[in-house]
Amino acid sequence: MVNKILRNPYVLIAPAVILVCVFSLYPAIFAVQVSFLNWDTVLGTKHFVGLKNYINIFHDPVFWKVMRNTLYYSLFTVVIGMVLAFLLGIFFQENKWVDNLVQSIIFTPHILSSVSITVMWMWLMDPGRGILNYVLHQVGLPTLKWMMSPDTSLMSIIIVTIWKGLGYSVMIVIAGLQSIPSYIYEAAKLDNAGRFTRLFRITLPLLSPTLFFMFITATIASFSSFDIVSLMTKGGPENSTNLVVYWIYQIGFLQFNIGKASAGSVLFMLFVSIVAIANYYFFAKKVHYQ
Amino acid sequence: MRYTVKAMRVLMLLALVLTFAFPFAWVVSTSLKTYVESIQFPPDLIPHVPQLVNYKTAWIHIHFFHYATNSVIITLSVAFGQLLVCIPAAYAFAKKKFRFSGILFALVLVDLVLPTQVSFVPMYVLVSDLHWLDTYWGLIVPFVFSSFTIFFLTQAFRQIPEELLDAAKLDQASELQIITRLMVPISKPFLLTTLLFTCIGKWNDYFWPLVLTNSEAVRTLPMTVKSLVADTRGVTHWNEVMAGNMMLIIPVLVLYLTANRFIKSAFVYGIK
Repeated sequence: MVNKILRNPYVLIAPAVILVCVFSLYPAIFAVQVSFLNWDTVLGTKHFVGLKNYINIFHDPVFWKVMRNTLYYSLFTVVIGMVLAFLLGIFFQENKWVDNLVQSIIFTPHILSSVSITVMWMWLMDPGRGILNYVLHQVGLPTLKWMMSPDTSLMSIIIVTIWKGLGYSVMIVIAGLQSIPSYIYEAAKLDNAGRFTRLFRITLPLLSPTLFFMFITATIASFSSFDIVSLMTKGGPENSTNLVVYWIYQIGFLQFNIGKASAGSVLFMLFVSIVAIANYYFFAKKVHYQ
Repeated sequence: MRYTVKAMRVLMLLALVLTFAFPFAWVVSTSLKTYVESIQFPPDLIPHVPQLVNYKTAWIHIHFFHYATNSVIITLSVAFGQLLVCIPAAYAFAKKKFRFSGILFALVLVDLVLPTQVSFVPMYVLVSDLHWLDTYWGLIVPFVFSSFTIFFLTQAFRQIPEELLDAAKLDQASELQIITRLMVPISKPFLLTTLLFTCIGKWNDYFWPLVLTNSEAVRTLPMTVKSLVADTRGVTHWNEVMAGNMMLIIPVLVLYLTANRFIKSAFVYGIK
């Protein structure tokens, strides 16, 4: 009896399909619906307001600041992160014990909670007693206020983000490098190709699918950043570190404006899709597949 | 040329150890200092007399037992729930032919490209309508499904040769036996990997417990450790914060070190 039921593939996939519909697709569609409502969560009243939530967002100066912050944050974390990961991958790919040790050390932040990481960095970056300012002072440089000043706060969370994610990117680069067949390098050596020729003519083109994958996932991940902002700065000071997901959270959960927050979510969803598609078309032409 | 490269390697090595290992060393060191020692300038790397009492204080302040129990319950329920939901689904997608399987598989994978952060507002409303706020249900059921786990397991199951399944069917093995005695044992490394991913991810999760809970009842360890930073005394006792932080780090670190190479290759495999 049980066996007969289990032989039906639809029974096997049913729990998964039901769950994805209820907890993933339905919320996304529901967000669109709610974005047209003025929903007072305190009084429990809802009424249709059309595009008013969207118009409000576009007239909100904080929104434009948040967008600018998010773009800066993404640009720096993705570009610097990828360049560093590429360099480290090239230098530490040989699987000797030193390389393994290095990989393990830089990978560790990736598996730790963002709470652990941010608590650690808040202490390192403490303007008064932090070790970073101590080091700056010792080498004769001016000390910084790190997250406490609007001038350096975005830079501070960018540093922490890159630090947390670097080990993961290095691992992906190394995996990509290992999939390049060694006979190509041997052939190039026979042709007397130098180190840099090999790097730019073989490694980089053959690694491009990996780098492309990293670029897309890292870009979307950086747009979706929440934890580090929420934990370290709460978007401040003066909204200098407010990023899009945290801003949506503020509107929905601190100002209780569910309609406007949903409109923000819908815009964010559109934005992520556009970036993903644009990335895809722009890079697909330049990527070499083996 | 060769020597320049070697020198660069050594320099990079030192820079890396300094930027990645030092912060951890500093956390351990601070966690063992007295309050006065922790804020003293110039700082000492090695605590004068290691203060294990910080751990005891932090343990009490963060109600470690209560929050760690919540974290363990949620982490394990999600991990095992995922296996229960995702193994049969992955088995069907990998080994069975049925109508709409392509479309349904795509539907299941939509989640992979849609960041969960985009729909947390409606998710909150949904969980609230189900009266699941501040309950284990709210923190477990929505996460029992995972696109990533299904995708990963489907890839693993596809590698199992059809001949084995045919042989099992000739021996009149039931579907349940095929899953539990054939698919699961052969793909054990993949199953353990997904189990590890899920456990680490859930243990560390900060976002969803923050969004989906209002009270202390079912909140998890990361949230309480964070609350140490500016506690009611108005002053941050960094030595105690770091002791609390260590309690959050140690379980994951032990898991990581015991399965080090395994986890690394899994992370790399997982994204391919």
